[in-house]
Amino acid sequence: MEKKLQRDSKALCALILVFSFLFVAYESHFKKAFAEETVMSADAGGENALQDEYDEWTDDLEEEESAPRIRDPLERFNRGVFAFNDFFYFNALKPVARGYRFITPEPVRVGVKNFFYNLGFPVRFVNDILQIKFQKAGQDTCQFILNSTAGILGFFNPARRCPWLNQPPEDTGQTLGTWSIGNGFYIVWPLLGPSTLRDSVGLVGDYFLQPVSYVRPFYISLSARSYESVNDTSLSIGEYESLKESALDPYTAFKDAYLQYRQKAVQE
Amino acid sequence: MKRQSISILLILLLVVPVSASTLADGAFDFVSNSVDKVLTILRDPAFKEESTKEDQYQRLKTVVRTLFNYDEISRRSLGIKGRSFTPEQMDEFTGLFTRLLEKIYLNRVREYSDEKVTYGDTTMLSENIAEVQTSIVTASKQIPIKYRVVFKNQEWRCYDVIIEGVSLVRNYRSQFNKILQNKTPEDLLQQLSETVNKKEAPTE
Repeated sequence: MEKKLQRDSKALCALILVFSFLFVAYESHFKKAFAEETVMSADAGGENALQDEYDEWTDDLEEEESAPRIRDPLERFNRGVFAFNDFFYFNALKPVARGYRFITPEPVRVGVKNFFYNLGFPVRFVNDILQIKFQKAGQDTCQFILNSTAGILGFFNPARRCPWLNQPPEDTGQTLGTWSIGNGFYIVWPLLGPSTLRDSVGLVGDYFLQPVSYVRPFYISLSARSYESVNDTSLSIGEYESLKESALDPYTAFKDAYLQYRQKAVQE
Repeated sequence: MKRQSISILLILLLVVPVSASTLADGAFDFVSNSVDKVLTILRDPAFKEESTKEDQYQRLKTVVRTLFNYDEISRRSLGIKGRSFTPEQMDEFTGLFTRLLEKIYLNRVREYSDEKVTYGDTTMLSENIAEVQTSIVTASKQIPIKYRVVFKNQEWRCYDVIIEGVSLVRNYRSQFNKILQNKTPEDLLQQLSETVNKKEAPTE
């Protein structure tokens, strides 16, 4: 048992090493190319200047929040994975989630969601500390204690009544972001969905901080995660569909939505 | 002379903060009134029956038309790439894009099932642009929605909606830019009209 655990952590260390290597290589290799591209592309820096001329009253706004830009060298691969994930959603995840929704009353599903959220407390706490947000660390701790006790192991969410305790959750990807580490490039992972190089490293960090990851044997831990994802999906059926349907180019729409969402999460 | 300048100063001191706050209030009132009107129509028991759905749809449409400035949204969504459009193409684009946005908004809003809408702060982002924070509270979560509104021609109009940090205008701009990278405005219009006329797949 002990040996297996050791082997597991070795494998994960190796994974982190590979990631950091990729990251460093990317930073040194592509930074120059990216800089050139930014100058040449019509919709980067030059846009703001032209926009001022075109539309004076939006100038300061446009400048203040220039859209997040990212390289997508793996676009062909990513589009393939996006199509696979789409297929997986409609043919596996959604039917299962609908069946589950049919037999499980909503309050139970909300309770399960609360339970998993509460269990993810170490991720939030450690990342609050790493971002030197001590007040937030305190708020998250109070929320965790309140929900674990009065909320019966986190199934209920009594902390919801105190808005002060409900802070947007932090994760490792955001911590790296606040340390001014850039997004790197865009990646779509099978099953996990949109991510970036930075957020993928963050996912590895989150993995180590989640109590569920330390449950052995590993297939129980995996089942718990799958169950969490089915439960979450059962509460949000229709959201993926409507965003996809309102898009002209769903791949680009989801990519941009992910980047905007993460940019906001890092800023908070 | 001195007295006059003092009184001007006094008036300025009094007027400036007051007008700033009334402007923010105006933005807030505009958004909350429009949202309340939409909610009233959605909650109206008279529209529960299938036969009155069309009437409800039309009434929602009228309210939504006074909420959004579709010209502004279209122009901003195209961004700088809009310069390669002829005036006719631009008109066609605005028409199609308006239909798409209306369809999305109304379909989204009709999935409403008695969620609560709460209002947050209103901040002035510049002298005539404000951001009104609202959120929709469902059983399992709270979805923050920010309305960006601009005061132009003596009236407030919404020009962007930001849902969970994702700006609608920016999201469309990224898509239009991507398409226009290697396609013409004609192709974009073609693609847009296909998206508008696509028969809806049921979301359930």
